[in-house]
Amino acid sequence: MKNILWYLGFISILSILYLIKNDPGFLLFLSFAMFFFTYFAKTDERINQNIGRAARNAFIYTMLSSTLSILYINLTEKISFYQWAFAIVITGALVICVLSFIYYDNKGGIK
Amino acid sequence: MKNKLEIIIGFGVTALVIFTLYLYLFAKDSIELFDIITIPIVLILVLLATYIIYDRMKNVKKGLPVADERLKIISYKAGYYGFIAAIWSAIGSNMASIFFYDQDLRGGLVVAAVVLISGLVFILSYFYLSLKGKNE
Repeated sequence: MKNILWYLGFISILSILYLIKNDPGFLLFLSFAMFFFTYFAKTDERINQNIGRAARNAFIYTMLSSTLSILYINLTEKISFYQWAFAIVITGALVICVLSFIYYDNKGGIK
Repeated sequence: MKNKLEIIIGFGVTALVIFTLYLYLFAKDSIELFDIITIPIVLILVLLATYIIYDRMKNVKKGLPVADERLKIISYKAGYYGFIAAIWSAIGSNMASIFFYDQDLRGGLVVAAVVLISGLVFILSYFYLSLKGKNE
């Protein structure tokens, strides 16, 4: 499986917006720079499969949390919750991806 | 039992998506251009997802596992592409809106864009890889 995770590192370039907007929130994009390191990672079949499984878990989480957020906001009409929903969906997906990978990697095996 | 549970969950998620779309559309006073674009995409997603579940159901009826090793690897790969698309669409949809229309996207539209784009990427990758028979 071709490694395209490292492309996420380019999101860190958005941290430059801090200099324009002076909003420290943009500095959080710097954390995406860590994905550049995956470009140099030595991979084998097992690691590739574990990356695939971890990303799949994150994808399922993204779909479920996004759908539930839209559902919740439409039922309660709390429009202001959208900014929290966005943070929950994206941060949660990244955390789940990393934790899943650590779990599968420590567990060993590809089943 | 596990196989049947997977199929039931699949149908449950599909029903949830249709119900969410129903709520989303009927909670609005007027239908916008975004909604007109959204409906066909969601319908395509639902139809393709239903086909995948139906295909797997046939395996269960034959007494075969729901998914063989090749299909598992394909689902990992499609999920991988879907995840990448989710992250990029979350960042890119708002950026594109600012670039092309000079205005921020509403929060709801960003979340909707994430679901639609990543869902579409997942389903298309899954079908492409299944049809091509490629899993390396």
